[in-house]
Amino acid sequence: MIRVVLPAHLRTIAKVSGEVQLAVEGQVTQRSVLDALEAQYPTLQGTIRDHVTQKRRPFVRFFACEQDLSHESPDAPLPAAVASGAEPFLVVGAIAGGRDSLRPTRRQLLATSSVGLSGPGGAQSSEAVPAGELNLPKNTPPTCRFRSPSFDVLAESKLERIGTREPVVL
Amino acid sequence: MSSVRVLVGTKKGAFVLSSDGKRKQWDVSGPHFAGWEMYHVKGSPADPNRLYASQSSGWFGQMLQRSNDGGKTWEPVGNKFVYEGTPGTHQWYDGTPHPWEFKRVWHLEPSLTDPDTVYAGVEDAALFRSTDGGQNWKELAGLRDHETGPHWQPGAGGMCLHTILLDPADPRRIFIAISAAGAFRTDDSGQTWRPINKGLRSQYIPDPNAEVGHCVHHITQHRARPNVLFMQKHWDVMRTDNAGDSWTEVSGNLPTDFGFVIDVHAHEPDTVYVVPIKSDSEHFPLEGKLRVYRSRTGGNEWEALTNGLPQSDCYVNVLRDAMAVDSLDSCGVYFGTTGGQVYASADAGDNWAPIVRDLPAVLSVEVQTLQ
Repeated sequence: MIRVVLPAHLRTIAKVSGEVQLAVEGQVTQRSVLDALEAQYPTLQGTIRDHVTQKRRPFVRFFACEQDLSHESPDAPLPAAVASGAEPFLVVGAIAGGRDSLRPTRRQLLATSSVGLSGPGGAQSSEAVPAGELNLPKNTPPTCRFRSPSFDVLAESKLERIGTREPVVL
Repeated sequence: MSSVRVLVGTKKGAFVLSSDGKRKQWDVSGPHFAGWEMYHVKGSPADPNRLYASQSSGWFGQMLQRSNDGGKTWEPVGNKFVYEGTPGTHQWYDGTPHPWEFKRVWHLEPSLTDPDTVYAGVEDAALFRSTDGGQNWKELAGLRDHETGPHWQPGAGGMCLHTILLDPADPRRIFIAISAAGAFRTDDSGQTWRPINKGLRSQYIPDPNAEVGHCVHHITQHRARPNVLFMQKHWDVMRTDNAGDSWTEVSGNLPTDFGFVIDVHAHEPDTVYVVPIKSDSEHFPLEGKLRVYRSRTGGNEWEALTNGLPQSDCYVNVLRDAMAVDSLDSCGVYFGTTGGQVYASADAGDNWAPIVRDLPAVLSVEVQTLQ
């Protein structure tokens, strides 16, 4: 079974309280995992990737085995540890900025898989990462085929302003 | 006995405020959808227990929620908003062509007669309709296909379709407004549209009298007199007596004619409310005094309503969908602020009191009068 960790808001939408287990037929890729996820939880359609283009939403990131896989091809095989169920596939709300000492650790990310610090809009920019409640295995062997970048490089290059209802000021 | 239910959308969730007809004691329910931007929550006039809510996130996009029990429980419905055909382009802030991209639902307008039919005004500006309770959405593409569409430009908040008025006398007639394209009207159920901006004058666009390009903030209508509309434009409070064919300014003695909200008394079609806001860069009440202004003459002559509202050190804003009225005998008026207060008046604005003081920034306020 493929293990998927969703951010808190999407766990609420999907009405799940912890890690999601998915049966994926054939090759395990981002696309096949997300197809299975959306088939099992249809309310998640459109929240992780665009309804039409099927592209990842700009401020959603995909991690596994301490790798940022967000820019990998959706049809590229995921790490063997994900395919075997040893490691989870993480869907994460993008995080940007902050001093090193304030950046969340991998365990914090795994525990929350949520959003925090500064994401796409100003409204949530000063909020701390909330405490998580997932029970994830400790010392999961990093049997991955990729290098292991740090988890702090999560920002999209271009932030967009959202949420304001102010009018144009010319 | 009658009661009222106030539906509040905020930057961090939705709240349902309930009271009996006296409107003294309030029950507060929420936050619903905590942490999400709730752009709008509105009930069906045909079935008051049917509510629709627009739930938005910069990370996870758009969700639509529906309640069949007046907001006690909710279920997600369809969130697939796809433009008809090849979307094409509108103008970006710098005047270059920019592809139409769906971002969020700003306003939900349930049908006056069918609880399963609801309209959605979205950013980038378009009008969608669902006839199955929000499960499936189809664009009324005649609006966006109007010949002026490629010239529409966004306001600072995005190119949003924020106002939808369904004509109670003619089911084929709909009014909408877009920031910053202007107001439009259809007389054939949304197949064809025409700009209704004659008489608007906006100094901040190259041609102040242009057919489109006006930053309309909100429009309101009294059910008994649907051809009379009142508009709060970026600057100027405007009135039309012929369904938008022409507009005249009725700002009169307002201390500033900039603002976002505008609404009409439930029983007096010539009693209008606005909240003047200092512009352009501050966007808070003049002199730190939160004042609602009321005209009992259909505009031009305005009086400040201050009893119960903060008259010093108040620097909030009142956003365009954040005012509503109930239809009890003594008309109640409600508005929410970016400071998280929701104020209510049970006597048509003479006296005010906060229902709640510390919600997240209020994006929208709607009221249901329940029998």
